[in-house]
Amino acid sequence: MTLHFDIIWPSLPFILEGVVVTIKFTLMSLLCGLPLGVLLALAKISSPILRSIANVYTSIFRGTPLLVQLFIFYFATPQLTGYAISTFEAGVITFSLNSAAYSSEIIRAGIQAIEQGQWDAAYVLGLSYRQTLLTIILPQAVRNILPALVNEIVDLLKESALISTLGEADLLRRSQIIASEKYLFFEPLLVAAIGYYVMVMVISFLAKALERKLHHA
Amino acid sequence: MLKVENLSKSFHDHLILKDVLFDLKVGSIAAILGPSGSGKSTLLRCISRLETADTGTVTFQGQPLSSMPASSIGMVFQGFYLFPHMTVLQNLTHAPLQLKQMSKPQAQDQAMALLETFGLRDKATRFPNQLSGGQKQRVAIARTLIVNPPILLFDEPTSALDPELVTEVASLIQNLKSPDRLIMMATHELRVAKLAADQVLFLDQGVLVENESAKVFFKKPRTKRAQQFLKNLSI
Repeated sequence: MTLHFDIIWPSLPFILEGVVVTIKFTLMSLLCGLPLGVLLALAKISSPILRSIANVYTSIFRGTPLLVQLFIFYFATPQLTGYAISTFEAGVITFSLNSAAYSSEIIRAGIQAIEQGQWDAAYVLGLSYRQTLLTIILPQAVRNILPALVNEIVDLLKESALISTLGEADLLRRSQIIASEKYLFFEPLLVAAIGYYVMVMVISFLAKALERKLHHA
Repeated sequence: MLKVENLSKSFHDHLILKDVLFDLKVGSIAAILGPSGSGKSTLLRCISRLETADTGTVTFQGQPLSSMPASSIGMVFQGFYLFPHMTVLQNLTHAPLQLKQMSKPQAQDQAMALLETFGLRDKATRFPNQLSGGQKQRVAIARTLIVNPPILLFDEPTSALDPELVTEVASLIQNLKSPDRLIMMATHELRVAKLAADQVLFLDQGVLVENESAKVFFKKPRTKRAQQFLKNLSI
């Protein structure tokens, strides 16, 4: 067995550009998905009607394969709406909606883990529901749910590789392109794997640092 | 004058307070006594508006309590419930700042002055988990006092603390007494009531059995139920 990293070496910048695409994609999905997850979590602790809607939503997104959801948004959107959706758009929409379903469960549990006394104390001091939630409950909940939320972000980043099936030039797709160009598979795919691994490690490291900082408080 | 009229409250068909009727003079300290499950805490929670009574009215100086701002009622909880993610100083200033009741320098000055009186000045930048139980309680008291509420409620002020601190808590509460403030505490610790209270409300199974001056109550309670209660608790 001989490995030819020298052959793919010149293509390394091309593959690694995929890191930027992957990060951009993950960040976008996170930025849209997380606020939606918070809203869903709030719905789950409010009135029975909102709770049922949020639960049905969660059940659908958790009960069907992500790849199927992705294909529906990408291939069915033009048919249903006439809008020629880009792979990036379809990906961000699917991943946002999907991660919102998962993170809403994490956030809901985090909010409900805060003792009722915190709500009571805030109420007696005259704070509104909104003020209590934003300044008393959520900051405490974040500390509890941070590890689980980081897992969710890591999952999001790894699952983002699915957009390569639509042809989006992310890290995986770019390494596949080089693979088929050079007839070498192990080397470019190894580069992709290492790329994902490094990104995941960076996220975990940042999360640990943040956790330590919050824990100190 | 705090006037409570025909207050009733039930949870899931279980009647907790039955037609409670009393009034208390401002400037006094009242202890709510009674066995567990007698409705002491629920009574305080109804006055603090954490619970809505099923029937009845509560008025303070002739005004319905429900129409008064939140800052008119302060409550110190059994578990204190300080905000763990904020410093001691922030715990005090947070609500007045959020509610725009004070400017930041004003709130901080007032908070520091309060901390000073409670001997906690050096703890201003600490977080609640760095404090002892007694210190937490004093921070919780200071947090409610910053807006100077005319009604101050204590729910079981001694039960989360070392039993040796009972006298200390009693004098702490007594020091808060002022002509324009009504203090009420729900407690099952007789000593703190005996040491600090002017008036005793004795509840049994949701019914107000006695409303008596503390002196009379501890010397010679009128009802059999109260006599029994005191007898059971005295050593």
